[in-house]
Amino acid sequence: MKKRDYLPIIAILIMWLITSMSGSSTPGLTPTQTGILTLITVPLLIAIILAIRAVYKEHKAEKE
Amino acid sequence: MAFPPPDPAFWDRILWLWKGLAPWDPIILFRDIFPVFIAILCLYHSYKTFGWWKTTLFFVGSFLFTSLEENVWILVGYFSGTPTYYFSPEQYYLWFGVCPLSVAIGWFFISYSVVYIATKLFKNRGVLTRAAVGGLLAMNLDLMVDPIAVRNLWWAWPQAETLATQQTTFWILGIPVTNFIGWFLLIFFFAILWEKVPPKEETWKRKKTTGVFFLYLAGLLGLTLLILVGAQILIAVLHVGGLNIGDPYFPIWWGGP
Repeated sequence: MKKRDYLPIIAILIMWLITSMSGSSTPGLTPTQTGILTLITVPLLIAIILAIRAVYKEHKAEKE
Repeated sequence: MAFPPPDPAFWDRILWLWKGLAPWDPIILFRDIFPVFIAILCLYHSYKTFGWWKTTLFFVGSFLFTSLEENVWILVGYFSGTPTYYFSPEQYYLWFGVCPLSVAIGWFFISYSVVYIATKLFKNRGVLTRAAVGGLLAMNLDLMVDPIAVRNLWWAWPQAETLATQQTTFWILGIPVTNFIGWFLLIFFFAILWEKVPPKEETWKRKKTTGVFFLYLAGLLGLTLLILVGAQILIAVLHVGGLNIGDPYFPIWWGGP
């Protein structure tokens, strides 16, 4: 197991971050609507956090 | 949202990689190139984890599967006279048919990432569970991407422009529901294919496995399109039957398309 195991998770996180940042400067979207869009993606964010945790645990188990 | 239809020259240049309709803009350049950098992260991970053959299968497979689906869906709309959606020719430099190259590359790293996350979270579950989770995660991301994209005029859903077509489509956040079904199906089917076929290499050998992989890919592409057409027809039939699920102003808190 290597640090690169985080790369695919980082990739989707970057995509989420960039889209989320675009949302705040998008014409025609109110701050409330931008907030709703961000809240909608909470399941994805939870999955990302859990995946990071899973990879971390795998690394730890391998070291032990 | 009113959106000018693409320059007629766009349709004459379907096969051009560079359509020459986008003005010079560093933001457009960034949007075209940035997905390549994210894709490189996934390609590197895939190469180190699975080797070059499986990496090529995933990259070429996901690229072709998703971008051909985009192309067919857009061109069917264009040639049938009832436009489905289109990408703005003024917003991208490089194209694969009528789909921007950056979108096709985006499909690769999104599918790679969500399939990877699903594998990490549900490694002890069946293939179908992992594929469904991957599809749902991708669809969840698109619930944010699409409403932002249409307001930035990166792409457009022309059905949003007339009341008649608005009412024969079921909208979520101003986007036709068939779009989200499409996102789910593409990742779901591809994830199943990815888990089922490449491991057969040991018994089938590499050449046969590659052939079978792409053969199934073509079949799944047809199946995805059939389901999407079916869903669209079902929504229209329900509308004619009086069930107005295509009310463009639902939900009220979001507003119309």
